[in-house]
Amino acid sequence: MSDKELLEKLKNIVTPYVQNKKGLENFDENTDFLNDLKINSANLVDVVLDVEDEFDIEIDNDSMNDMLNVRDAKKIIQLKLAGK
Amino acid sequence: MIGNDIVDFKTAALQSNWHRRGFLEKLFSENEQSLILTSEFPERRLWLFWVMKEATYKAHQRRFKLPRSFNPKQFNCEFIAIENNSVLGKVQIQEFSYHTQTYLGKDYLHCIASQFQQKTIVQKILSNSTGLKKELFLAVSELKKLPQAKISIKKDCNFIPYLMCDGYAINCDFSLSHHGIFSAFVLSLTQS
Repeated sequence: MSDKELLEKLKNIVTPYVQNKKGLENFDENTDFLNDLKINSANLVDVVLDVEDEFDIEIDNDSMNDMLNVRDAKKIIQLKLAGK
Repeated sequence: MIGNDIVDFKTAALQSNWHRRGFLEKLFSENEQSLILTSEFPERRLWLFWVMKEATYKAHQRRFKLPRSFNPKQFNCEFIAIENNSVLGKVQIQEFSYHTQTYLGKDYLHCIASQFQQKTIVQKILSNSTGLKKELFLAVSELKKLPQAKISIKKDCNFIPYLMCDGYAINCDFSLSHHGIFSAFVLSLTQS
């Protein structure tokens, strides 16, 4: 999967939880789920569960700790996909 | 150090589907899950644990100046005393434990977590999110005898907020939270 495809999928996943829709306009590796997109912390778990479903991977607790921005989320997804 | 968290029940019901597969398992210990599922009001119990964890996370993060982390499962909740409209609790993370006091409102839950059992905390809960910082600045200006108009808020490299006045950081133990229509702050009147 290309980086572009992965980012596109991730953007689609987070979109329903985004409180600051403007933050989606420049969605890239530097986008922060909390500061830029204003996702409620209670919805971070939904992002993690949606990522698991979409990519058919399992995000363990240690990986979940870092799922707070696009760069880390991408890294974790790629790592888990490589281990499949 | 102190932390606080607030949950708006209406917003929580709209934005979170706690019945979805994996939701409880990712956030709560087995013991907490069973206390949620056997509760007469599972949803309220779930958010009670959640605010306890979040408020404690904030206190713990500030105490050790930790980078952010999404690790609610590492915070283990216990009830000490359950009263009509409040719950005293204890939350354990690794070898550290925190006192929590949660107010159970009709429309919201608000939890204060603290390292010490402090009695001197100012708190304010608003049913909007626009005036919160102003209220905090007013309380801080009274506490520290500083001009309110010169107080501002910034975030450090770990995204932990701190207060400034006239270019200087104010040594001040506080925490902000907002969810749905509600927002709140807590401010310690004693130096931590």
